[in-house]
Amino acid sequence: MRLLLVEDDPMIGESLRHALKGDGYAVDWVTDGDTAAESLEIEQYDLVLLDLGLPKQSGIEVLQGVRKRKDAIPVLILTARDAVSDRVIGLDAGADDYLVKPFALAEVEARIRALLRRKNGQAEPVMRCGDATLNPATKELSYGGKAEVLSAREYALMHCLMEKPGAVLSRPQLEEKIYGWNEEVASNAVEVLIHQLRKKYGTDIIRNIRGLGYMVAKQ
Amino acid sequence: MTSIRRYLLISLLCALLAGSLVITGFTYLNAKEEMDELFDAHLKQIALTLKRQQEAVDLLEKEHAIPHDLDTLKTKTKIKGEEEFLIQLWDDDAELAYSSHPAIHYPQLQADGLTDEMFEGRAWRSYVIHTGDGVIQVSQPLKARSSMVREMALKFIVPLLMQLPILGLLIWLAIGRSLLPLKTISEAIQKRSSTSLEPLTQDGIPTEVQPLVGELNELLQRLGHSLKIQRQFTADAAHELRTPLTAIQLQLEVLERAKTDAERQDAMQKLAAGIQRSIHLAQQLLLLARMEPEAVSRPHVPVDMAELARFCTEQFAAQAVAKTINLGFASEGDCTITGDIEGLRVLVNNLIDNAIRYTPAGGSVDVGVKRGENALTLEVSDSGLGIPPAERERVFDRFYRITGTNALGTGLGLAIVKAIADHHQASIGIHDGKDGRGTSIRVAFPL
Repeated sequence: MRLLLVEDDPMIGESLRHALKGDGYAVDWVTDGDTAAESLEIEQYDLVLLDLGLPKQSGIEVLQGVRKRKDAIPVLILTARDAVSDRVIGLDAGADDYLVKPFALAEVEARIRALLRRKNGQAEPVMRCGDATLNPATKELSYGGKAEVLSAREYALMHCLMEKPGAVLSRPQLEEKIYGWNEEVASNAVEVLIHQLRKKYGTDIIRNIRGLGYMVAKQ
Repeated sequence: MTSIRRYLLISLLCALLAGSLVITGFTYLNAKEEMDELFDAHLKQIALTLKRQQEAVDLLEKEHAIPHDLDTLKTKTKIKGEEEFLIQLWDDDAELAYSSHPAIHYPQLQADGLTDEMFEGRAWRSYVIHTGDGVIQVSQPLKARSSMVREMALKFIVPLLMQLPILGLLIWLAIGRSLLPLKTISEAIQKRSSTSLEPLTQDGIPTEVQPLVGELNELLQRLGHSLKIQRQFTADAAHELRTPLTAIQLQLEVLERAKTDAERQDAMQKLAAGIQRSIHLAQQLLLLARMEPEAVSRPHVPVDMAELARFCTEQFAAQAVAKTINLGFASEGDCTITGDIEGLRVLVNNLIDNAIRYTPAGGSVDVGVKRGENALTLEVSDSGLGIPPAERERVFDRFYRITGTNALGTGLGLAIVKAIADHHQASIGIHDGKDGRGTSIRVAFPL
């Protein structure tokens, strides 16, 4: 899961990035509207956390730009503007949700999960693929009668694969979804994660399609 | 409490009363003069008539005949009323031949014509004619005259006094009516809430009250303006307070989740920095509130700006050294001005703090105070990021931060500087720093 965090306040940005990384998200953090708009054009994100009061280009402008391109990426606005009119403007500009500062980290996380769930057309809070059940709130994966809380990276990997059961994802694709910018990625990082998961749940949990990549079975 | 209505009524009535008294006084004096002339003429006429009718007098003298109807006069010792006269006739032997009031022993006067004489403690007026065979003397006590004049004056003053209550009532009503617009205005003001600051209507307001309403409206407008600014400021302040509080909230949650000691240590440090930032913002907000021109009531005292700036610069020495910034100070001439010393200290501190904050390590900050011909200039220049010309006006706005700066400023530092400078009628200019790098802020205090 790759998130774009647009926040110009260094302290808030730093804390959010730190916490969300801990949740297993790959987080790219930008501090102004122009860079945010550029990043959204170039990169594929699963969700945007967008502050409104930004230098160079306001959050609303960034959001309008995104929606103009028919990009349906979920957008969660994080702002200090709490007037009803501000919320209406934000939501009408195409935001999916609106959180007013100061907010609790747990709420941001819950809303991110809810938005991602909705994006994947999922009604249930837990993800299911055949026998495998992944709970985004607790990062618990149960498979083959075994239930365990995953590490942030393991969870991120499983989440990516279970999002599109049956689809094969290449190693670079997975890396991109799991790691943010400026993160040192060892060449075998994905393999190490898969190895760890297979050790816990058995080889079948993740299938390897040689030459192409990895997938989880639909059934 | 003074009442215009009562004051006007009393003063108008007093003026009317005084006027009536003056008129009566003049009338009294005039009438007295006229009466005197009239009575004198009367005295004279009687005397002359008596002279012409000497035969009659002779007759009176010979027969000592006293008319029957004059009998009562014999015993009378006083003359009452203005129609009564004392008539005395003396023969050539200076014997009193006749007296209309024998009981009154009024002396014979020597001088011819009109004479004033004191007799038995009262003033008399006589007309004397010396004829060949005697003296004719007609006299009248003046009191009789004045009592008549007084009576006349009284008759005159009574109606004048009687009109006062009627006039008073009319004045009372007229004043009440003309003060009605004031009552309308006060009612209109009374009905208002503290936030409705629309101008008062000037329709039907008399010209005398127009300026008052005009000034009131202008005051309302100014009030509305500053209220708007205050509201905007409160909204901005609330907004700005949210950011550091959000940071603290997040930092606290990150701290709670920390798994290792190193992580915990790091999170604690960040939380402390976040709290420090909130404290700084609160302090700056408080300072700004205190430095608002309307709020400043501290006395202006002579302040040696060179001494003050040197002291402030010294306070930043440790901070500058820690950030490897070359901090310098210079002063020239007698730099004493009068001002609010606390405000000026805040001004200098904020400028130096800003300069150090926005100057990267290895840069320099210079503080200078110089006395010029018309102004004392305080200059703080740095080799920092500089302020683009387009933003130089806006940096004095509250909560304005230059885009692209990552320093955790409150956006209030220069707004506070501006407020203090305004309070001292000083002008602020932002210029390029030395060699076109960085920023130089100059505050010119008029001398």
